[in-house]
Amino acid sequence: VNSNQTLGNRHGSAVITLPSDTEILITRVFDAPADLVFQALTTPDLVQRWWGFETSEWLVCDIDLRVGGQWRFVLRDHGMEVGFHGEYQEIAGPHRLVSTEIYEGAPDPYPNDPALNTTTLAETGGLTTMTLLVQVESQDLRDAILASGMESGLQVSYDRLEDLVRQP
Amino acid sequence: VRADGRRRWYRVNGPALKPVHDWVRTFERTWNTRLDRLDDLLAELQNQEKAT
Repeated sequence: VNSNQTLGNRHGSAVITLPSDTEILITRVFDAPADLVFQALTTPDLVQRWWGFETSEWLVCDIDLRVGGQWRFVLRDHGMEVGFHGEYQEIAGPHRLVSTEIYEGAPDPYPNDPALNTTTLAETGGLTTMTLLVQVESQDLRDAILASGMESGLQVSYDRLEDLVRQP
Repeated sequence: VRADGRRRWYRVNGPALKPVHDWVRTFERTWNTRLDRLDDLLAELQNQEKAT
């Protein structure tokens, strides 16, 4: 069985747009039912297999999936610990999930400013379109999120290095 | 912006816009890496389901 035949044919297809000064929208299509995508977003065993990077070591992956429940992810990557946490505000599986997100290492002036993350999963013909809308209080914070690549400073560094060595 | 009859001319400052564009590109690559991993996981889970 060639199970990998279609694997990866959508790699690199996530699209980022900026709907307003305080929002980031991430859109990606998956060859999977919404139900399975929702499970992958909300089950600790599954989250640990994709949310970090290959080099990440998971220290904490807590998900209390109920309205008012907390989530917290802490990873170590090349000696750097990064933590994120938040609270579930709306759970309507498998099509909608709303939660807050705080980056624990954010420097002043945004130490505890949460982002509001709204995930929607729309399934048509076996494909699921995921949208993740990140909403913050100020354009400064939105820009800080974009600039820091705070989800993985390391990956950003590698990308920068790649760009650098590619220069003629 | 310069109005000229029914046409409207916009001058875009290319060099000034480019850094903003690169900035989002880096963020986009970070998210692509993460979501490609999710893509792989979803394929793997569905293949396991089929196999059992």
